[in-house]
Amino acid sequence: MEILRIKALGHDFGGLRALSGFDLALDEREFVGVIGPNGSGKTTLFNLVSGIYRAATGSISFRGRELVGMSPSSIAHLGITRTFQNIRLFKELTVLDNVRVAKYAAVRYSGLEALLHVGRFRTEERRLTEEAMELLTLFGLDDKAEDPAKNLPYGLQRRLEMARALAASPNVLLLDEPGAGMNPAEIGRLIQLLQWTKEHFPIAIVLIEHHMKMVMELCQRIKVLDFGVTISEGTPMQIRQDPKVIEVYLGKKDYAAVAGRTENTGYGHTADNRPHG
Amino acid sequence: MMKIFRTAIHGQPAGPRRPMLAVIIAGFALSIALPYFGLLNKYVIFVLISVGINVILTISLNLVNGFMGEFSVGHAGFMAVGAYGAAVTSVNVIPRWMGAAAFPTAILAGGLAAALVSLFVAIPSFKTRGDYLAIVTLAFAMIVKSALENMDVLGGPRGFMGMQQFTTLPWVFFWMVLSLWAIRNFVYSAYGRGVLSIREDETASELSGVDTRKVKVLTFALSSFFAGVAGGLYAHLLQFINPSMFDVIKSTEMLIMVYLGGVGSIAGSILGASIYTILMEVLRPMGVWRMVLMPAVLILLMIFRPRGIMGLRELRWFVYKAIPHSGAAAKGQNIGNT
Amino acid sequence: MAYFLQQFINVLQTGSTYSLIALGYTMVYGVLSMINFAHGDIFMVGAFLFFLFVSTLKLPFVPSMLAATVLTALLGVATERFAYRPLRGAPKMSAVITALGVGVLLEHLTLAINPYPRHIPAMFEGSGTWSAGGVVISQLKAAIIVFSLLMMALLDFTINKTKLGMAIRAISWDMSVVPLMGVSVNGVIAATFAIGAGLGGIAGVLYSLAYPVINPYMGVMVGWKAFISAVIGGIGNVRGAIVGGYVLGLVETLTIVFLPATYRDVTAFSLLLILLVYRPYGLMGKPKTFKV
Repeated sequence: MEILRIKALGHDFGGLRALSGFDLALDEREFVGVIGPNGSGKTTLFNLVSGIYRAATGSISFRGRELVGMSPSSIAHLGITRTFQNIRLFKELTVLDNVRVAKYAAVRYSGLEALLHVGRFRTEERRLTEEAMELLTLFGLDDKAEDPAKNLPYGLQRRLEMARALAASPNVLLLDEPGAGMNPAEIGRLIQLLQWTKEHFPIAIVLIEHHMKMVMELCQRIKVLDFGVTISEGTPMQIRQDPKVIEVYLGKKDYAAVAGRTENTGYGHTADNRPHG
Repeated sequence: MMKIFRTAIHGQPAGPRRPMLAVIIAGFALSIALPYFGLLNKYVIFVLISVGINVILTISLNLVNGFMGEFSVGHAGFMAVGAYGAAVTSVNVIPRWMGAAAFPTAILAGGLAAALVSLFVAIPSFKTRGDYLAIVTLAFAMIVKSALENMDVLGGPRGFMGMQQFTTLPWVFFWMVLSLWAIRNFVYSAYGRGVLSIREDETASELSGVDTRKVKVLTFALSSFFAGVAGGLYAHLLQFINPSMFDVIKSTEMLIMVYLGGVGSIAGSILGASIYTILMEVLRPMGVWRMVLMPAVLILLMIFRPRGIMGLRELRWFVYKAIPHSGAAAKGQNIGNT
Repeated sequence: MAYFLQQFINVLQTGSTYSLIALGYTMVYGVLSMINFAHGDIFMVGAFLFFLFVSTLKLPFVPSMLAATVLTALLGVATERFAYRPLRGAPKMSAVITALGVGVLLEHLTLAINPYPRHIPAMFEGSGTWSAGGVVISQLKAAIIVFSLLMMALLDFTINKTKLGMAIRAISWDMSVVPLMGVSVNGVIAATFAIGAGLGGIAGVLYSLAYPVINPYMGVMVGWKAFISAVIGGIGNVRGAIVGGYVLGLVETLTIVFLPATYRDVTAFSLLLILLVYRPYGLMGKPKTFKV
């Protein structure tokens, strides 16, 4: 069943075309990958879908509801949440509160009840906290619940960000380079985590990633962007063999990295110097 | 000693609440008894009342600056609206025979008036951030002051009088406890977590589903309400107000109390307001040089301890926990270190 | 017609003061992205220093003005060195609050030393007025306007044509490239503060010639007006600040023509609020694109 339909989506910054004519029909519980060189419009796509930017052209409909023009919080509330390329946790808040923040819309008490701590407040807070703790337990973060998020090691911060994105019980999860700055062993664990997440939660996932191994192993379908334009799409097998993709990634030289067995293209390592943890 | 402080928002399992309630009841009883039996002279009572009013102002400003991380540097504007609102209600609306019985109504009216005008700052805060919002708030305070000076019905620059001296120690204690309690409750709720997440990362907050606009409006309204309450108490203490009482210097004083005691901390607000108010009284013999010291303290604080004494930490008594011993509470499948 | 010309001269006079001070706000914002709320009080200190030299020390006009200008410039450098530089890496909020604190400190320090308003002695009693077709302009006023314009032209030349100006513009663009040019960042920032504060000091002297009663709080309102001027022109934009001062002068004069004079401040601040919300980059600036 189709859950998200993006049609002819386009956006530009001061005349510079960042994304154009992007289409995507995402089914429930589907796992789709978006790849492409840096600056090819991948993050712009996420910023448009999650409502940070208002799309210049095209439409995004979620279960038949148009999202263009909606505030990011309403979009999150409807059921699309995301993570960030550069982790954006609430650093000074506890691990538990990071997750509880995302349950904002699930709260069933009024402002007055909050102000007086009466009525539904106490039972609701208890329920919310228990749900958050369950989620943290699933992600192996329960023993860190009271620590400030900034004290977590890098890998756990990524995991917490994912837990936070799932806290609002979304139907679509947008993951922006969750593997950035990770070594092959960590990537292996991340793949397992994502597979497990996919099975455990009723969600469709759109994944932006430079680590080819992740995309190839996880995604049912892949879309390839270059300069904001979709240059290819298909199953991992089709993408692996598409000469256009290989050209974009490797400048025609090395066929093996995409087609072959290597752990990753090396893209994620050369492009930036993120902290390892 | 430091064991009783924890990073804000979480904390050790909250102990029994009884001591807090006992402190409040004892404090209230003392606030009635001490003046009644003549155990305090007028000056000491005046200082204690000033401490109380300043605690209200400090917690109110801390909610916006410390907890939400937005810049309000024109809080005196809200105080002014509250002071005038309460004073006008008291003098022109409430019949005089009602006396002190109607005092809470006047204070409430001042608080509500201030909460209403807070929209003038809350709405620009949707789009404007950082130092630009600071200018908006300062400009707002300037507009309030200029507007009051232009209103002849309110006495214009000469000021407004006719209020009876209703502000007593027990009343100030009551309003102080109310402000601390309400703001503490608010901070430890879903809205409060929204407030904190705006301070940490507004975009991530919005994308996590927090309706940041609503949270901002509520926070500014709550903060302004209590700034207005403090203004109303102030007006009924001095029995005379004029627009220039609520100038940039008043706002600066509030900032000092917040940044002295500690940003994002309820205990810090109490501490900052108390230390500052008493220090300024002790230094009274310094005369005008006291006024030189005041901004100097602020500058030094900003350079050497920008978060203040209790910055982002909280006294255990104030922490609310939904589940007393969380951490061990939840059970479930653990994918741990797969 | 004569009435309008007369008003036009008023616009030129108030506008000149605003522009001179606005330049200080805009230059500091350019290099540090920080609003120096103490700048209005620097202007006030300029007037008081002038008073000190001219009235207490009985020095002649030109040396007094020079000394006042140099000392305010040094004061500007000192505030940067001791209050703002330690906060350069700190959150912006700290810098804004510190600037506010520096402003109040200068006011109260001046108040502690001069508890009463001071009166600048009349220096150009011999100077007359020109009049033509019903329009009257005192020679002093004309001199103030012309001198202000000259100073602004000089600054504009400095910013656009000299090596120092190039360095200032480079820092505004990107602080990290300047060391590559072999220029000390701290030096350029200090120079910016010196120029900005010096212009503020000059404005203080000129203002006190036109309005001789000075008090420690005189810089608050004038400083705000200058700041609004800088916002009108797009803060960080030097020519914008100059134009902004005259625009605000015009708006204020029009307000007085059509409304009671007491509405002048409310109008100016309302203009500021509207600008900040709808056009924070000013009338002459370009919108910044924010990266998320």
